[in-house]
Amino acid sequence: RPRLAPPRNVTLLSQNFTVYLTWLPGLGSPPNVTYFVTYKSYNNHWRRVEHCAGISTLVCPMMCLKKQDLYIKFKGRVQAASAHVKSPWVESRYLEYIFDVELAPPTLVLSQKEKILNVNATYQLPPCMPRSLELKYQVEFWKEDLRSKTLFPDTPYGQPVKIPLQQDARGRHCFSARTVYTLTHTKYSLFSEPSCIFLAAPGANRAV
Amino acid sequence: PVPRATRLPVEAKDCNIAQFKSLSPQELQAFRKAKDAIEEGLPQKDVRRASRLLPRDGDLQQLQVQERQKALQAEVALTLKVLGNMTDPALVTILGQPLHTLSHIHSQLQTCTEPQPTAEPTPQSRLLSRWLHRLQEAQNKETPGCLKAYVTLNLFRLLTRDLKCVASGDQCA
Repeated sequence: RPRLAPPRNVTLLSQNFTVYLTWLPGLGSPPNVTYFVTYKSYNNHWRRVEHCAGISTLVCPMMCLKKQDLYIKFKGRVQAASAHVKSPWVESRYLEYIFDVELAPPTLVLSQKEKILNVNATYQLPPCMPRSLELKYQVEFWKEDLRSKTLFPDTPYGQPVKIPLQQDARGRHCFSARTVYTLTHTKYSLFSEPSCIFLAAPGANRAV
Repeated sequence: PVPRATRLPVEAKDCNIAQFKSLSPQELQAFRKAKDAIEEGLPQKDVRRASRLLPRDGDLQQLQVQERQKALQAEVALTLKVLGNMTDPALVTILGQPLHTLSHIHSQLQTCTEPQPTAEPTPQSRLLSRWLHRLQEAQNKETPGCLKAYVTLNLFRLLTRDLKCVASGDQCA
């Protein structure tokens, strides 16, 4: 019975707190090839990933799946199909979420009260992400035309960073922040894109 | 996490469960190494059977604050007993640090759950009774292989979510 070439480089990876299965087409794959994905927790059997049944893209989101337990390692597999011909399944390695999660920088929300700038981190976290993962963030603050930056200490997600402003603080000041994860080993996200504000009237409040 | 040097000795006399709000990364890495090694040799039939014993999500948080320590103590005691009974020389070496950490947690929980001499005995809630019954039944009825699979599957929920919840006291909601 003819078989399709199996997908290559099947990888289960984390990015921005979520998880994806990625792959490359098998060698010599026909243009109309589609893919089917299933996943398996260490303690469970293979389960279809419904939103990745018969897809033509090369990536499948693997977060918040049915019966998924992020305290238990899991893996994915993918099969190519075209005109009733299928490839063998190709599996990824296991992924242990609390060890392998990769981070995203926060979005910063600023507000100014008298001579204090309040900086707060917000995130778009997957709904099924375990709450016990203890995210923290670091804020970097600098005056745009000066090179020296102030890096504030790790702050637990949910708590603001309070930046006291100098008496003569005028002009454009910039911020950037990164996420810090220390549960299984210390990891940092990239810094967020810098955003700058013109220090003027207090009480300005905006997401940057 | 509290630096290891200042951690209380294994035979702690005072209840200081807050120190376990999070284990050190090194301790969790040691547990991961041990867990992966154990999982290499677990038969799938034991893993499937053990899955049914796992507590449903959020169970520990549904217990009253002072009862969570008892539930966690029972889980840690079972984990310590099963992992401590392993005889495979390769595993015994890898399990050294994890067993030390578990016995430290266990002795703390024992200290914290010891009834105060003057305290009135409080009736056990149905939830806690069911929790303890589930573990006792498992030890009475299940095979050693199934119990090994159970403590392995439950390990990181126990060490990160449940331990942190108990260490956080009434801030864990």
